[in-house]
Amino acid sequence: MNKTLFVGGGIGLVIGLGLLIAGLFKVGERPAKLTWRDPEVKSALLTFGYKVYALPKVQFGRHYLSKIVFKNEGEHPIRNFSISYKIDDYVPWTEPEVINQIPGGFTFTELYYPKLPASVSKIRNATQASLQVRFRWLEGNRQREETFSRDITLRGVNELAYCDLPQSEVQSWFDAFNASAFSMAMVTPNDPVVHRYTSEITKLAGGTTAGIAGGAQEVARLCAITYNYMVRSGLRYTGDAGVPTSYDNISTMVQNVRLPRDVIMNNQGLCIELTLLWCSVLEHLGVRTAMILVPGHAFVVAYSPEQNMPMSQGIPIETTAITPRAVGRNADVSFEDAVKMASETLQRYQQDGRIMVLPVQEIQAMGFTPPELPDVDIDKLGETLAKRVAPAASPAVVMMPQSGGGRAMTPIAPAPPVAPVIPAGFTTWRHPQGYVSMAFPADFVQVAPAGALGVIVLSVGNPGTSAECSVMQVPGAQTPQQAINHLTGVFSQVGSRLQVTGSSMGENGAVYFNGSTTLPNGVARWVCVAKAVPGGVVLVSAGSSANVWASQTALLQTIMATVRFN
Amino acid sequence: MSHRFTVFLLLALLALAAWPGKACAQFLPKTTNLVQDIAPDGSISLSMEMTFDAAPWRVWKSQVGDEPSRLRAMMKHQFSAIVIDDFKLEKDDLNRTAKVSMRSPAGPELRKDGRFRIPIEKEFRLVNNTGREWFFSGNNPYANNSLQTVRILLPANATGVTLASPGGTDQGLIYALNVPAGSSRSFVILGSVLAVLGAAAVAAGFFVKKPATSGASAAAAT
Repeated sequence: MNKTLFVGGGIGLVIGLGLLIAGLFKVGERPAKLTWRDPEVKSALLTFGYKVYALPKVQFGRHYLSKIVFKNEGEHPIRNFSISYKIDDYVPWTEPEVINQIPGGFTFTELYYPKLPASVSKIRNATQASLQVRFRWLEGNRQREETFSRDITLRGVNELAYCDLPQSEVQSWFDAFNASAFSMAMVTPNDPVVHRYTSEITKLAGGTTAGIAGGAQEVARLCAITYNYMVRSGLRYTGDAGVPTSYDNISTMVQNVRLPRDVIMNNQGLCIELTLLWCSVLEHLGVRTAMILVPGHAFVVAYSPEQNMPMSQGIPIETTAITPRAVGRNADVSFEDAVKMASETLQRYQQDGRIMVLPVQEIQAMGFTPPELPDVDIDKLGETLAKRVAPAASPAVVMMPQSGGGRAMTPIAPAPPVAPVIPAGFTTWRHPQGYVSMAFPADFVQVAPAGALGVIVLSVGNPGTSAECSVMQVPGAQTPQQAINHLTGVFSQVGSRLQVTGSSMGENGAVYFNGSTTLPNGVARWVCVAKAVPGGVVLVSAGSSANVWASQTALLQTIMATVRFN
Repeated sequence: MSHRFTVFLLLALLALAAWPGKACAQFLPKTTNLVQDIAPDGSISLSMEMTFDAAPWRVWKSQVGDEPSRLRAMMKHQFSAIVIDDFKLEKDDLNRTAKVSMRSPAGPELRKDGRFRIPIEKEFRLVNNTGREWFFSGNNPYANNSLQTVRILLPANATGVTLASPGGTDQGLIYALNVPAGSSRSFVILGSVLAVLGAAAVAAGFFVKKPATSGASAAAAT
């Protein structure tokens, strides 16, 4: 026996077996272990903007409710991790988000973007709620679970907080209003209350094509009529400075801002409330708007890039001028003066630098969309609105931006009277049953005979310029939209494609459309007004070839301005 | 959960002057080169180097570059969905360049299937890749379409790297990690080898006789 070899081998065998056993029992390895940093939970939510919190992509995801940073401190993977959230009765336990495996040493973040129900927009006063978070995971074969809760405040639907920066970082006026984008969720162009209010305005306007045609002049006319309606209906400005509020480490101005529907029903509002109402009304009518915030004040700019009226050439309107004392006057302030005041303010703060421009559509497209609002009695509202308007009205002064751009505004034309003025060189035409009348240039010739396509009543135009106008009648149709649908079918049968690109409500059930028709020999653009008549719907359209549209717009506008339904 | 930690950081670097209503085009960099170095533990080291023309450099410095502490605070606020640590800003006036470095302990998205995803904005197109390093370039829509390159260094043990939805809104690099075995596996292997060798030595020692030559030599010497 070789003793040395025997002993040496024995030692090796013992050490080897020791290592083998240690290895099999994973001695020295850190087992899976989930740790997390102190959860970060937002302590207050703005309920009118509840939709924003559900969108992870808005403003780089910073409107989460809860953020937790997890880490697997062990060397072995954690399995079947899941996390779920609950907010009292508002949000039941969410479907758990599951991650099958978290590798050893790995760190990750879990963010919660709550899908709050529309019912939170019924909260009138700040309400306490509780966010509960529950996560489960497998460490080795051991099932683990952790639950915690945090108090949160659901602010009243009218409470707007302007800032969400830590107090220590606020050093400029911009910082103090860094969360102003939320206010754009208070612009509610599709609210039925706004819709009803707007129809009262368009009654005064004798219909409007501001959203689809008519150019800058029509936008200006509409703004003037809106202003005059507000004055006539007794809408008043009231002041309220807001209340400084602190929560967490944030110090902000919280203002009670009523939604446009509340301003309409109460017939009074703050500068920001009146501005939000203006934005809602004009956006409903197809006019683009931006809210301008300057220190201590807000007003609106109306513009229409689609009609060569960019924001830089828009119409600024001092929304508080409806109450003369609010702007230091003793007598009624004309629309012209309201524009002048806002222009001056705009200019002053452009030089000052403290100005914030909030274009409604751009910001709403980011996700700051209005809340779903409870139903209200629209008929009753209609009666209320009808009682408000005094019978006499001063004529609207229409403002028009100067062609060279800039902010100066000059009055160019009065609002059209109820009876149309027939321009020189035009000839009048009246529907055989008297449903509608209009005028068109006397040199227009017949383009299609009456009865063509089963819908044409009149079709005349200038073959040299391609400008045309037509009157069509769709028997059996009950609404303008049905008539348009019927025409789409008729045109498709003759190889043309009719496409509606926009619509707007006019007065007394008339609806304005604009769109294009793709013909075998090119594309035509048109505007159209349609109204139900006994036994069907009558439509009056004016259009031209798309490539000469810009040069023909003024003429087509003039033709459309002569249309009167009886 | 989508953790965006990419090109939009450029916007944040302009954060001090990027509030609504303020034009920021006048101080945008000419070019931006972004490098993301991703570690196996999910942390990201990010560096962003920007070069400016003379006029934007002056404006950028006055608005942003000379206030790094505020810049960091604004970035932490605007990008609060992300954890940002170790913020550092270096400026080179001679060459009008600025370099921002930072680190986040939690970078890639952890997918349900256990793989990882690095989101890449759709505006960026793949230029080249070497397996571990991926190069993209494009125009940053959030920074006046200025030119930007993005270099992503994946963990050395990344496997099965693919570019998902190239050019789409869900464009991103997806990869798995080849997780190294724990220390116990080494013990098992070493222990097994030692045990086998030891057992062999014991057996050999038991059966092999010790040579007798040493006794004869001793007798001869006496």
